[in-house]
Amino acid sequence: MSLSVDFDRVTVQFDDRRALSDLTVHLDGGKIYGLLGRNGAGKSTLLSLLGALRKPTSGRVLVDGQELFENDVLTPQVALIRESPDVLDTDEKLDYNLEFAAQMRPGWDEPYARELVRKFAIPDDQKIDTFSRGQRSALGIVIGLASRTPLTMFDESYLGLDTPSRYLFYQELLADFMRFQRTVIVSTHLIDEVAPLFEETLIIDSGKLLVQGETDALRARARRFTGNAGTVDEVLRGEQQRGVQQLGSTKSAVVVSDRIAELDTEGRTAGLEVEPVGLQDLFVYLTQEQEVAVQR
Amino acid sequence: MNVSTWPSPKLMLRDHLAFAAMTAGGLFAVIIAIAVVYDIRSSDDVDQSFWAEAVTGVAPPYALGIGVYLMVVTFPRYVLYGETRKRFFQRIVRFSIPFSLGMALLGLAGWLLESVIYRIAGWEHTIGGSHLARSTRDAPHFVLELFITILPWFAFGALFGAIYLGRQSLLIAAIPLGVLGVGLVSMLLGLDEGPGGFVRSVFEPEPSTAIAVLLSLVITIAALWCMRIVTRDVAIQSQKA
Amino acid sequence: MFDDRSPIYRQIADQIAADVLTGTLSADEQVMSTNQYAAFYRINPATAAKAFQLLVDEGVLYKRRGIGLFVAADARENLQARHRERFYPDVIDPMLREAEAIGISRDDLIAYIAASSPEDGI
Repeated sequence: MSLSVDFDRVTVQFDDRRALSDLTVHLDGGKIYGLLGRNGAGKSTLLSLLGALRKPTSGRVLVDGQELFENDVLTPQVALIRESPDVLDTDEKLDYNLEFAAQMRPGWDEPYARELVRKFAIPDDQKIDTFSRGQRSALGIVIGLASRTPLTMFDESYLGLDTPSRYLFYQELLADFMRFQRTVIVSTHLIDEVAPLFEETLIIDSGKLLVQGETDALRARARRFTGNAGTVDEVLRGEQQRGVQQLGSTKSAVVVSDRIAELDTEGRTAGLEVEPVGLQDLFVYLTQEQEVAVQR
Repeated sequence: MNVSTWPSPKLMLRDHLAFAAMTAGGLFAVIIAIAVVYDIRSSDDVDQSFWAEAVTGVAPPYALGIGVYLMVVTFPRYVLYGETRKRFFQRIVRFSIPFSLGMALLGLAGWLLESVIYRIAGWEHTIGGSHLARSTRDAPHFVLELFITILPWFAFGALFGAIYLGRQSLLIAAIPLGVLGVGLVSMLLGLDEGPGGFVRSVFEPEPSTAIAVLLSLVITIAALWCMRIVTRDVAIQSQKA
Repeated sequence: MFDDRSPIYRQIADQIAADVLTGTLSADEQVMSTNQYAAFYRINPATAAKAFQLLVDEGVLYKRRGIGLFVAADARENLQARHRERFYPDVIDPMLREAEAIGISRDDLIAYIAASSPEDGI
């Protein structure tokens, strides 16, 4: 079982700033989504709405077609593991935290939780407040996975985890996703590490959706063109150039465009070097826009 | 998942009654130690229950503290685990009465145990000050007095905690109302302690246990209902490590 | 494992096709399931499924309902034929352009190729 998600013209206004601005997004159920955005872009606010932790200032947040906030039937099926992670009772030990999770989550899988605890080597004889940051993150991940909630979200849940533990997280997330298909949203800054896990990627910036699509398809819409500055500008006329670098008469620019295939051929014919762009670079170029504009 | 019934406070009760029992045990040991020291150092014999004084003074603010804790610390975690604000309110309502009664019974247990120790020590076990119970034969009165004082204190604790999460400026209004409410209950019980001394100087109602019980229940319901209103749309903030 | 040069599903498909070409995967042999593949390479199962679908469409693999995917009997021959077609434009033409740019004459090239022998592994 998995849940679809709809944001219908959602705005979240804080006292001092607008975190989300008239956001409309649809996510099909049963996929792993990557949610990317710079700090302050609105990722955590978006996820807190889906965790039913806050109500939007205006607009509707729908899960499985129904308004989520204060919906008794839906909220137990939704889990958000965010930094610290705040699902943990730090005055207690491991067993208490697992017992609490088991009480609250109808789909809780105790043997699986214990298996993950072993794999992540989480200590069971000390209070959570003596845990390292990585151990806390690991326990948050265990609770997020073993809850088996049809909509599960991890908001930078990897903080403090070393590389092997992060790979263990990715591996377990994927394996359990294949056993029990659900809707998963992962917010991260370690894009290259996790990108192959995402079926779709969403990039938000300044509270707005910048792009959404299959990760491969997004990458396929971008190319870096390098060569004689005049030729680059000629080929890319009318297109927005991003991540521009110039060295003497050689210029390099990234373009994200629906006409990318055309531009690719045109560029090669004109003798330019045309290269694909990775998701992480694409993210950087897409979200850098404003600063580049200011510099010009 | 059955959402038509109010959620069970079982785990919450187990945790908080166990903790209250530990706290009561510690307090009891201190009280007995004080009685022994008093007996040795003073020329007078111990002739009244120290426990009754301590527990009637300490238990209500303790319950207030638990109310605050449940809202400020426990409530966000329940919401993070998929509980709606409404269902948490229901859980707290179902928790309030057995918890207050449990605390009152712990108070009674200490009092009865103290009377046994006093008898062995050869001390007189009277109850000082004004209380509903006159001796250990009045156990139900002792429990009733504790129960109806603890209950509204707990409810106001929950309200204060909710206001702390929601709209902190409301505390300016809520705290005096709380003092007034629990003060009136104490006065109606004919107790000469408890908060609200300033009220007493203006208005001193005729003591009536029946009205006290009624008022205790009414202000508990009112405080918990206000807690519900304050938390209706409250956002659960991220606690950065 | 995978680079940014082309879509991941394309790289997976190319890898499997290469295994068929070299004979690592033989005709009518079962290939890993989508989920096994996804778990092994830590990629989204939809991406793996897309790669397999591509190979089915290209006739490299075929489905046996309820069992899994198998290498087509004529997969190797077809792939070889297709690679032969692409060999001149994809491999030889860029080589000739490079040779010209750095001043190696056609005669030198022909002489080099003639002197090399398959036994040397060149």
